[in-house]
Amino acid sequence: MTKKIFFILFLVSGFSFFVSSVSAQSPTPENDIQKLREVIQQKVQQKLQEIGGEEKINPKKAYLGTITKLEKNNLSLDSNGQKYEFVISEDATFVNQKQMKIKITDLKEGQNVLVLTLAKDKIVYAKKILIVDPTKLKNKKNIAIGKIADISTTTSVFVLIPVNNNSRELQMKQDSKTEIVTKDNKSLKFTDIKKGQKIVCIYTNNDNSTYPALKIITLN
Amino acid sequence: MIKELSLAIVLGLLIGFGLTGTYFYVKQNKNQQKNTPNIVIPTTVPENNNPPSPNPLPTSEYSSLPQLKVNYPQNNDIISTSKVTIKGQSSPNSLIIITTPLKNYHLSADVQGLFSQEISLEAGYNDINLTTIDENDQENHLELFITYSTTKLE
Repeated sequence: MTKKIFFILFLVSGFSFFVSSVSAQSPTPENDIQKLREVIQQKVQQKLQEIGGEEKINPKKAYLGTITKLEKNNLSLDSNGQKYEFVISEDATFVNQKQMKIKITDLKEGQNVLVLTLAKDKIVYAKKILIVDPTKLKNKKNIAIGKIADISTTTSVFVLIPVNNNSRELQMKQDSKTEIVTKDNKSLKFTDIKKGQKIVCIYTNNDNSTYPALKIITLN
Repeated sequence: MIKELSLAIVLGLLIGFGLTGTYFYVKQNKNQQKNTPNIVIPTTVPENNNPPSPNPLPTSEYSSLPQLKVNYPQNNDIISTSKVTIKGQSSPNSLIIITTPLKNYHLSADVQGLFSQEISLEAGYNDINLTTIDENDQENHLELFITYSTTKLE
């Protein structure tokens, strides 16, 4: 009798252990989810790289530079230290600084031009050549990040010390056109700016000692 | 007889579930220890008795420039519309400043460093300057030349 009871006891214990072990298993352990996330991230990155790699090159390009050589229908150009060669297209047009049409014979070596080109069958054709003044096309805006060392609300002038050059002082002038905003693009007034504040200032580089501030972005 | 049998079943259940419970409790604790990321407890830097140097040398951490790359448009591209969306990549959360002949823009790169900004183009040649400023105030610059022209070249 006692043997039977012990046998039943053993069976029930074993059965309850088996049942519990089955129900206690987690269907998706956290490790697997993490691995799955990593795999998906890798795949997405890979796909993005593939998309980037398949990006088509625009056949229409424009180059600003100086004519270094002009022979028959071949044009050599120096653009920012890079040398380019183009075949002047038969239907190419030529324009001077007054926006008037000129002839190919009006082009000379040493002239600054903007060449509009089209790449076709591995040849780059110059389709339009404009004589330009490169100084007028240069972006003269500068950017400085620094702390305001001094500020005059009466004259709207402030002194900025760049973070990358403590020995330099930039004197800036704010006017009605100056845009003053926070990093989150909230509009501010000049009176909101305080001494010691860190800002980014976009200003025009000119010959004067005081630079006109075009935009002020406060960072703190 | 029935009494003894019932007792055996109850005892059996208690022992079985007890053992199972203990086994999975121990197992779960082990798993949790494995899955817990390594937490680095911040420690205070030991006090330096030497006076601070007035001109600290730049460390390699701060001397490296933040990356700045424009994915679209490509340099020297001719665009036939007056607006174009500049897409690029920089350091995560960095401040991006774009200056064009017409306007100045500022935006923040996302956590992956990606940024995108629609800009207005001036007719003709556009010298566009891009600046990135990272969280350590390190700057990097890039110049992009885009020409806005509706001239038919084909």
